[in-house]
Formats: sequence, structure tokens, C-alpha cells
Amino acid sequence: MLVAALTVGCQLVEAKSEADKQTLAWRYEIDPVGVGVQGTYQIKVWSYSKDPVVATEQSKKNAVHGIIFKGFLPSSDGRIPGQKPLDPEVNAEQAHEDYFKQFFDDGGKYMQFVSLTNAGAIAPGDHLKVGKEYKIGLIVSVNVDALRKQLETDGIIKKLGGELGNSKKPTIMVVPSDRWCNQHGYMMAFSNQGQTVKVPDYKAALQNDPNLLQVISKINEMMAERGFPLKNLETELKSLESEAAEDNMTQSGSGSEIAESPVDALKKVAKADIIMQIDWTLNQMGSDASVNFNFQGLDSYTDKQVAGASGTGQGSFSAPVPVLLQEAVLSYMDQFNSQLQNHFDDMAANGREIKLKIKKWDSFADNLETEVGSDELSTLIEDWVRENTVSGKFNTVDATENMMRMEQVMIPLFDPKRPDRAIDARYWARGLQKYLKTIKTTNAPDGIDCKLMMKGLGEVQIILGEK
Amino acid sequence: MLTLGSLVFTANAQEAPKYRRSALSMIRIDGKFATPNDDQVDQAWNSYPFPDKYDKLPINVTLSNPAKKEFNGTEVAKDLLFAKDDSVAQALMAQLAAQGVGERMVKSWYNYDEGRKTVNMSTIQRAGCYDASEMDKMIAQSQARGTASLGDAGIQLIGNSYVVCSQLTFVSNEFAAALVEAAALSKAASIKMPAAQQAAVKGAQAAYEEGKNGYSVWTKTWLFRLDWNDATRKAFEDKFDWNGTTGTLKAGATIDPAMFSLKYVGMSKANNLVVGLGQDAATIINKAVARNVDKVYAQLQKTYDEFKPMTPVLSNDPQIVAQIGMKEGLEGGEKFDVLEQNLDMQTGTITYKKVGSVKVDKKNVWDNRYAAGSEADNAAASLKGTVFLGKAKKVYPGLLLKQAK
Repeated sequence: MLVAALTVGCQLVEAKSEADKQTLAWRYEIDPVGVGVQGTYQIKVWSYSKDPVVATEQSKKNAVHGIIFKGFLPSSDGRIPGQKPLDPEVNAEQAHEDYFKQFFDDGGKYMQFVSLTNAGAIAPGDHLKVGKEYKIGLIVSVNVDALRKQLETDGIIKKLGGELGNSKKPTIMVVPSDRWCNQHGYMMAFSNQGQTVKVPDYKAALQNDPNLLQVISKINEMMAERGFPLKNLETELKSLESEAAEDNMTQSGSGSEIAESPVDALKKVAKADIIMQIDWTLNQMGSDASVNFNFQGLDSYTDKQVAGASGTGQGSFSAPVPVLLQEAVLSYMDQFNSQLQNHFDDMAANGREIKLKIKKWDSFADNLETEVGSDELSTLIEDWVRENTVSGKFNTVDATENMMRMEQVMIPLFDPKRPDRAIDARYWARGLQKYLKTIKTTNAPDGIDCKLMMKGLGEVQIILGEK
Repeated sequence: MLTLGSLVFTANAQEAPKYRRSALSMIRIDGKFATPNDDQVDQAWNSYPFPDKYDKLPINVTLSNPAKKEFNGTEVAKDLLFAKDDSVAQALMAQLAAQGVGERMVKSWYNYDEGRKTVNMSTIQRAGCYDASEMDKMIAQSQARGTASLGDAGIQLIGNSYVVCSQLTFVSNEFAAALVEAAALSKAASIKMPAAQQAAVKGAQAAYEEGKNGYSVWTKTWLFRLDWNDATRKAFEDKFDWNGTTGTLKAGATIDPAMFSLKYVGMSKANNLVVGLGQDAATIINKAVARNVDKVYAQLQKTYDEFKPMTPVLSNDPQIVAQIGMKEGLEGGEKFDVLEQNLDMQTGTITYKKVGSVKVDKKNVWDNRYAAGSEADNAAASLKGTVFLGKAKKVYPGLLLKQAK
């Protein structure tokens, strides 16, 4: 009896030692199985070992390791998207060697984030003998949201937009794309300097399309999970309505050439840094319905796309459309956020891009070529911009005696004099406005007054001559 | 296609072999073959309980004796003993095609309503859910799509639709014995040694006397499979305008039966049941038909791999357990081969090596005959799988169990 017990004990110890050895080698492969429920990835992890029991034991560790450091490719039919690793840094594991040694130790934290589907039963075809070893496939669910949070809390990976600081975490607003609105008949006419243009009618879309609200709500939920509460389109539209009178004044007052569409006005009211445009098409192929989904993240300041993800989900005749839409959101949000993070990284390093336009009132007797000291006024303005942009980056695309147009003006995210103070384009442009007031000319002995106007969030117009 | 004991198929390593339920349309060939009471045979045939293992695909067609034999015992016996069955298969195939059996099968799957010209996916969804293994259900539950994926999988079952054409023949043993005797006598005539010749003749006559009493029931079964693929599905479904899971035939569209064809799979025989018809002929016929239909199903499973349940071992401690049961037709006592899959990384070829045998424990057959997600309400439902008897240590989780011939 004692001998038998000792033998079994020795076998267990050997198996564990073997498992440890194999785990250190991190030999495994990951295939996506399906779109997991919110916050999870459902994957099949293939582990190798000379002992099938050991291979099975390794699977959970391998799965978590893979999600952190390797990610996985899309399914062979492309219907299930691949995902990037949570920690995309090269040599991330080595950089936190002690942490991960403990993390992946027997009974370590990794266990909290992975569960075996069907109690670890192996599917037909997933138990293979390859030469002298076994290749075992196990389907697991990895709670990627919880895992990410843990790694963020432990300081191993960055929070989404974390480098931008809590005081100026970028805000996001989800809107249906222009194409989607047009296709579904949610457009409205807008008169821009006498010319009628069609712009999206978000209010009508929200009121009439039940799927739209659900999709926005799901995205909202997922972004809140990442610490990014969204600007709610519906709420912002209400705010916009209450400020309609003020907007009308903007459109008709001095500087009336700055026509602002309702969409621009919404952006200005919402002040979301990123506009997430969503668009989907329902494809009916025989009995199968599938959803083609597209996310576009547009920087509100420049309207440039800074993140995007798209794809077509697996067809189904059993799943209702809201479920297919939800699945699409779950499929592509992490990809989208990963690109968004790259944009935030870029912003932290290079500043935020805006456009600047300098014009003059007819009543202003000077112009941009007026000599002030040894320089023209336009040169002084360029010098100020150079001094107040990140690495002096900006590009003057046009300059005449009456106007200057600058693009790719990279403004800092925080006031250099008050680093706790996040700044936006208007705040930054006020600095220029104040500087102009210090410039005295014959025609403006008390300094140059000017009117500061905004189009959307990222386009500043300064009109010289009067406020 | 998977065969036992040797090299099997070349496949992508990720492509898992999977046992799926099959749907059968059982058709009795109307032959009037020397049957003592054909109506009684018909009744017995039609009232035979359909096995749990298969889905029933109702199609209403009549097949006649393809050999067009007259009601003549000797001719029938000759046919049973010597006819070339491939030509019969071709004749049956022609009859099935003429009656649009492929089209009827597809329409049956899609619940085609002749009056409204509509189809819907409910039967396919239901079959998909019922076919789902426990693992399929667990996987579905942790997916965003949920159990909808189980219903979707039903579309793959259409390709597992079969027509089983059975010819049941009651024939007096006298006819067959006479043919056998004639053959034996002819052989005896060629023997030159008189003593040996006499002995052979005697032997033939004795065999005739012994075998001429009573009746035998002979069953031949021809199996045809619906030729179904993505292109056929598309061609059929494109005829309809779809609104959710309901399709309405497009204006002016027609469904050409030639879109759907059957493939001949093979023929099997069950022909050794001997009965003496007594006074209670109905009882004996019922019993005889039941036994032969049983044999038909048994033959299907023995002869064709697609009907052999296959499943991975779930656990081996303390007993060997696998998640198949009554839904897959288990009753207890069935033998299963234990297979290990070997992958050649260079060629991607998978071979199956038999590493043992196990037997279904009669006392522990899992009753899994319920729709996906629903609760069973009998004692057997507390089982998580069927228990198999064998050397548990060698049959570890993940190895495949495949029903043996």
C-alpha cells in the first residue's frame, strides 16, 4: 500500500516537473473558436507534451500567456477576427520577469482569468499523437477584460489613453456614419452660404432605428469598461437644441462666412476628441443573414481617421440581427481600441493636430505684410506658433497679405506653464490672441484686437482688426 | 472518409472528424414477392417504431419491384439468390429520380408549404439543436451568439439525408431449397465415381427435405444519399425571397427537381431469418418484419461509417465515460474501438490506430434524448455520459471511441 502511494506520489511530482519544464518553453498555438461573450475570448489552445495529461494541464497557462504576449490570427475563413496581444511591447515578459514568474506559478493569478469549456473535455480530433509527443487542443474562455485590468493595475501595461493623464482623457462620441444615415434615409438639408447640402439627421436616426441605440449602448458599455465613458449622442443632441439660438448667432454674426453645419455644431457642443463613426450592412445570402460592420475613429480636430476596424461576421439564420450586431461590436472593438491607443501614444509624443486660419476684417487698416519692427506681421505670427507648438511643428499652406492658412499645427496637450491644465484649440489660440494684443502698429497703437472663432473643435479662425 | 485500423484520410490537422445524426427516409419496395399477407407486412412495416438514433424524413413515394418479376416463388427465389444487385440499384435510382425524391427530401427539411410556396428553417434549426453534443452546447453558451449557432449547424445535417429502400420478401423455403437442390444435383451429375455421385445426390435430397419447410424473410436494402453541397443550397435558397427565417418563392420561380440528385451508397442483405407460419400469422409477420427491420438498421451501422457513433473519451477516472447515449442509439452492450489519432506534421495526414476496445455498460446508458438546453426528467438524466467497460487506465480522455462493426 505504502509503495503504491509512493509510486503515485512520484508520478504526480514527475508530471508537475514535466509540466513546469514544458510551460517554460511556451510551445503552443492559438486558434479562435468563436466570438466570446462580452469581455472574453474563446480560443482553442494547442499544447505539446510527451504526456497528454501534462499537455492538458499546460493549456490554461498557455492560453493566458498567448493572450498577453502573442495574440492570435483571424480564423481561416476570416469570420472571427484576430486580436493583438495585451502587451505589445517587445521583450515585455523579460522586462517583468519576476512578476510573470509569480503570475504563472502554480495557483498563480493567471488562473483567475481562464476557464475550460465543458470542464476540459477534449473535442473530437483535438487529441493527436505527433511523433513521440502529444498535441492536445482545449477550448478555453479567457476573461480578457479582467486580465487587462489586472495588468493595468499592476503597472504592467498602459491603460487606454493613460499617458494622456486623467485630467484630459480623450472623450469619444459614437455616431452613425454619413453613408449609413444616407442609406437609411436619415439626412437633412442644410444651407451653407446659399448652397444646400445634406447632412446626417442623427436625431431622426436615433428615434427610428432601434438597432442603432442598441449598438451605441453596447459600445458605450465596452468603452466604459476600458475607463472611457462616452459622450452620449442623444444627450448631446438635446444640449445642442438648447444652444440653438446661440449657434444661430454664430452663423449670422460678424465673420458670417464661417458657416457651421449642424454636425459641426454638435461636435462643438459635445467636445468629443474622437468621433466614432459606425456603419453596418445587413447581408442576406439565402437564409443566412450576416453583418458587415465598420468602425472609423475620426479625430474631431482634424476629421482624419485615427483608428478603424471592419469585417463581416459569420452568417446565421438562427441569430437575430441585434445579436449579430452585438457580436460584430464585440469582435472588432478591441482591434479598434488597439489602434486608438496608437493614436493616443502619438498624441502624447507629438501633440494634437489643429488648423489655424488668420484673416482680417475689412476695417483693419493693416495687413499681414505690415512691417512690425524688422519683421512682417505674418512672420511674427509664425514665430509665435513655432514657439508654442510641440517641436515647433506646423505647416503654412497658404499666405497672402489678407490671410494665412496653417495646417498640422501640433499643439501641446497640456499648458507648459501649468502642466496640470489640459488645453484645447481655443485655449491655445487665446494665447495667440493675447500675443497679438501686445503687437502695436501705427494703425493699432493699443495692440491688435482680433476675434477668435472656432469651427468644430480643431479649426481656429482669428480675424484681425476688432473683437 | 474514415476507415478502421489503417490509414484513413488526408485532412487538415484542424479538421476534426465529427459524428452527426443522419436523417432517413425508409421506403419499402412494393414487390408482392411471394408474400403470404402483404397488407399485414405493410402494416408491420409502417408501425415499426423509428429509432431514436436517426431523424425521420417523411417522403411519400412508392417503389415497385425494379426487376419486374411476376409473382412466382421460383423466380423470386432465383432473384434473391443470384440477381446482380447493381443493376437493381440503377433501376431504383431511376425510380427515385422520376419521383423527385431528392427534391422532396430538401423540401421536407425546409418545411416547404405547397399552397403558400414558402419555406422556413424551423426543422433544420431543431435538428441542429438536437444533434448538438454536450461540448457543442457548452461552447455555444460561452459565445456572444449563444445557442443560435447550434440551430445553424442543422444545415450541415441535410447532407446526411439518406433514402433506405428495403425489399422484404417472404418466400416459402421450398423454392429456395429446390433451387439449391437443383444446383447440388447438377454438380453431383458431374461426379464420375458412382458411389460418390450417389452420396452427393442423397446429400442434396436430404438438404432439400430439411430445408423446404416454413418461410424465410429476405431483406435487401439499397442505400442512397442526398447529394447536397453549398452550391445546391445556394441554388435552392436563391429561389426564395427571405424575410428572417421564412422564404417565399420568388414570382415566376420554379423548383426543378433535377437540381437535387441522389448518390448510390451501397446494398446490404439480411436474409437468414426462418419462420414457420402458424395459425397466428399476423403475430409472426409482425415479429418477422420487426426483426428484419432491426437487421436493416444494424446492417446500416455495420456497413457504413457515417452511421457509426464516434466520440472522444470524457474521463477515465474512476470509469470510462463518454458523452453519447440513447440519442446515438446506444442500448448497452455495443462494442467500441478505442482510436488514437496520429498526425504526420510533414504531410498533414492523420491516421487512426486502434489501441483498445470497450463495451457499453448496460446499466449506465445516458439518456440524452432531449432538445438542447432542456432538462431531462428521468433518473438516467443524472448521468453525465455513458459508462464504458474496459481497461480505464489505457483509455485516457481525448482518445476516440468509434462503434465497432
